[in-house]
Amino acid sequence: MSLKVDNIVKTYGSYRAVDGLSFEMKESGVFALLGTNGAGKTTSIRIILGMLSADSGSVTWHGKKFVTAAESIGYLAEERGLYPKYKIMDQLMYFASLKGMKRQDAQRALDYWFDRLGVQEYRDKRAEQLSKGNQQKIQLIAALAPNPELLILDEPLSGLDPVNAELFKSVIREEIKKNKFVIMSSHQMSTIEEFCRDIVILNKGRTVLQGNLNDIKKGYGRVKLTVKCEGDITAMAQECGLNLIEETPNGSSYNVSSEEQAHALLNRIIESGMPLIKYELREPSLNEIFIEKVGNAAKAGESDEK
Amino acid sequence: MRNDAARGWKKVFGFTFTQFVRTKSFIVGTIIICLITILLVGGLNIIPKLMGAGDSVTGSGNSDEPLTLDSVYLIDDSGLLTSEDTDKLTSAGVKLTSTDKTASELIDQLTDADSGKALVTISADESGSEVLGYTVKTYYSPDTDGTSVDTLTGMVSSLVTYRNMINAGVSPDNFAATQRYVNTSKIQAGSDEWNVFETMINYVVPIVISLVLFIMIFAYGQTVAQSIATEKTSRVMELLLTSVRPLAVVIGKVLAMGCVSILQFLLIGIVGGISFAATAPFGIGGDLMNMLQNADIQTGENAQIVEAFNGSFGSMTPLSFVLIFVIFILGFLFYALIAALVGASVSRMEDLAQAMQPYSLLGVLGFYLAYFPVMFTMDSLETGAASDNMMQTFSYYFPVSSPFSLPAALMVGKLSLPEVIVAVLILAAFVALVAVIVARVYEMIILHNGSRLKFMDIIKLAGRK
Repeated sequence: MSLKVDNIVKTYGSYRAVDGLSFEMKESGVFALLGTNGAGKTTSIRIILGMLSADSGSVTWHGKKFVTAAESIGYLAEERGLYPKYKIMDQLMYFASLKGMKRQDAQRALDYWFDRLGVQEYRDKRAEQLSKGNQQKIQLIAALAPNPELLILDEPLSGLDPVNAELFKSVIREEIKKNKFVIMSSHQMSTIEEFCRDIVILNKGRTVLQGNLNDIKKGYGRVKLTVKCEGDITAMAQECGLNLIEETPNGSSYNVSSEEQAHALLNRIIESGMPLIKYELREPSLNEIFIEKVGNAAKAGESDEK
Repeated sequence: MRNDAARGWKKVFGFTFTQFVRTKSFIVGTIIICLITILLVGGLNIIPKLMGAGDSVTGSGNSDEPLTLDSVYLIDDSGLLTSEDTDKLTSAGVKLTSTDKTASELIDQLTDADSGKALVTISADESGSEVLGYTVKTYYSPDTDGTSVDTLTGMVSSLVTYRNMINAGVSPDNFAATQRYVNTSKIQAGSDEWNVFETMINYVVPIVISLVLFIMIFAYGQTVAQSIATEKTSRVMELLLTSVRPLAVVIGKVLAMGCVSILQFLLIGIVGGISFAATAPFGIGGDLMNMLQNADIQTGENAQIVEAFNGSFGSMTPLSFVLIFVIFILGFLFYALIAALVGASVSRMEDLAQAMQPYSLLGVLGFYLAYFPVMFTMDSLETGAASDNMMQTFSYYFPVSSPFSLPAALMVGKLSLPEVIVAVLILAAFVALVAVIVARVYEMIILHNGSRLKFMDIIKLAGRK
């Protein structure tokens, strides 16, 4: 049971939209596809789904060539789409029938998801009469109704208010518990950290970081230090060789080269008798890793061009 | 076409068809067109009857309308007419009024008079002692019935001709002999010879049929483009493509819109038929049907009408109807597949109108190629001879125009069966060519976003391996 993407390449003229993307999901769980706008995420997803053909490379599902129409797939596209003039129930029944669902099964599944997402009252409305958030719920229903083995969610939480974002997250958690394979693309790093086990970060079609998120973070170590005191610690930080990265009401942030460097600052603060409010030494967040990796790749790209 | 590439087209077809026929625009549009059809068919049936048309068919009418002139002054400066001639006018219903006034005084009088008064002047055009000819002028008061004025003028000029001939030594019997009519026709050897009614049928039917087919094929082709562009620009297409291949979407949509087109025109046809049946007993339609069925009244002009109907539509067989249906389907596919490509080439709905321009030009070109050659047969209305021209022949075999021109040619028997089959095969070959191009290109462009793909871009894509 696995999804394997092997060295897929897609070019448009001289532009390489996807340049050798490879990853494997050996078991169920959530895989994150990250990148800036135009990094190649959506193109990669379209290739995986068979909407676009790759110039080279392959996608296999359970060891066989991946054929989208023949598999059980749910897809929530980044750019949402519904027929604006047609009734919600009609179009969802249509999408379910295209997935090969029998009418009664589709009806039962849709009833469940209408209740689960609280949109029962909109089933006979036209899509254009719904708010953006409710349209997004309808499209999530379209993706989930066939009970797919593989779920591809492209920016699932964008544009949602906190309440609905939490509702979507709870649904995604339920799908994970059902041992689904989920590929998620998002710019909301906190969401990715919350759900994903493995990640790929793309920049201009190339993979700049890939692997298990915990392992990646462990590889960095606890190198992010945040300190808040009732006094100025700038001089003490400089004596310990720490350069200030950012100063916010939550405290001062530093990059440390080792845990000993951080402890040295802590000892000095204690020795000075200055009241300490916050001391946090942690691994970098996914957001910090993302910015670092994509930033480095951008700099490398610029120097290559020079 | 591989089966898996088209798998799911029936579901696309079913959804597209049911959703489209449930749209307000379709329902309201169809109702309005049906109402117009009822009024048009009923009106065309009844109004001419109320105006007296069709009486000749039943034999109940009199084509010689009585003059509605209260008084007619006659001033014959030429001195040609005799009392015998004026008596003839009087006996024909002309209310001649004697007068001492001059022509100019009478003209002034007529200017201010009520309707129904006229003055006829006859003058001789002379050169020395030789009379070159005669001039008949009719002056009439305001609001006078023009038909009566024309009839009066005709009567007087006939009398002038008659008296001139008699004065020249022609006997009345010989004069009658000179009044026999002479019909002229120019007929290309080997072509059919039609009577005037048959000529009119062969003139009107192709125009009406090509217009109806143009609306059915071209307008619904545009709907295909709009539907696909809507799916693409609203991003529904991405969702569809996780279940079916793009080709299935095209096939399902094109066939669905073809069926919608047929359904709408069937409804209109049924409503038109009911309207005709309901109004026929009171209109010229009933007279016409009666004439076609009743051999007793198929004489004179009626015989010509019956002959025209039999000549024009007598060659229709069940195979003709099958061929017409096939031509419609092929024509629809030809235009709808091109429209589908156009719809798939845009990324924004506001680009669609511009992208449709070449499609519109193609459709209009096809329609005019079918329409104009019929206009060129105008002379046959006068001569009663079947005329062919190169452009008309070309329109039957050119796939852009043949969907609009072939069915009518088949209906009125302009082409033989082998000729029709050759034209259909040419059309089918072009449809297959377009289908191959669509199959090659559609998948490449349906997810293309950004600037609108131009015609040459699409051709280049079709050429790629």
